[in-house]
Amino acid sequence: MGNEEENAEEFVPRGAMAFFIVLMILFLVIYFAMYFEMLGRG
Amino acid sequence: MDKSEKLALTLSGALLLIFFSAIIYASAVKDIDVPTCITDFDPFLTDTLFQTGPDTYELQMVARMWAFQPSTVRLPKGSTVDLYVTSQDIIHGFKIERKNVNLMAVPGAINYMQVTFNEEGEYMFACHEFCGAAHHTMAGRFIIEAGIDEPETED
Repeated sequence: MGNEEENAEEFVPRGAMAFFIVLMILFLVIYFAMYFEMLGRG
Repeated sequence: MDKSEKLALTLSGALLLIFFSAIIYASAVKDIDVPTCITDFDPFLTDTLFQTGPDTYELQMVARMWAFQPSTVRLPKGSTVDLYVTSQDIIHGFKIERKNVNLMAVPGAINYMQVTFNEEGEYMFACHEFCGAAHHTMAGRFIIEAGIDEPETED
C-alpha cells in the first residue's frame, strides 16, 4: 500500500505532456499558416 | 495545483497571447482589418431591389434562420432579375420553383444568378438546405403581375 502511494506521487504524465505540447505546436502551425497567408495577401 | 496542470495552463495562456498579439499586429501595423461579415455592409444591410434597365432589376437577398429578406418580391411581367444571395448566419439554400435557379446562401460569400419571369403568377422560393428547427417555414415568393409600375419588397 505504502509503495503504491509512493509510486503515485512520483508519476509524471509524460505522454500527456508530450501530446499537449505537440497539440500546441500544431495549433501554432495551422494558425500562422493562415495568418501569413493573410499578411501576404495584404 | 498540480505541476502539469500549471504547465498546461501557462502554455495555453501563452498561446492565446501570441494569437491575439498577431491579430493586433496585423491590424495596427499592417493595417489589415479583422474579417467582418458581408451582411454588416451595404447593400446587404436592408433588402435592396432596384431597377437597372427597362425590364431589369437587381435584388440583394439575405437568408437567415429562418427567413429570407425580402420574403415577398413583387415585379412586373417580363422582368429579368440579377439575384445576389448571401447568408447572415449559417448555410441555407435558395431555390425558385419552376425556374432553373438553385443557389446556396453561404455566409461570407455572395452567389449570383439571373432569372427572367416571362409569365404571370406566384413563384415560391424556399430554403432547400436543412438549417434547423424552423427550416420548413423558410420560404418566400415572387409575385409577377402585368401592369405593376413600382416593384416592391416585403420582409
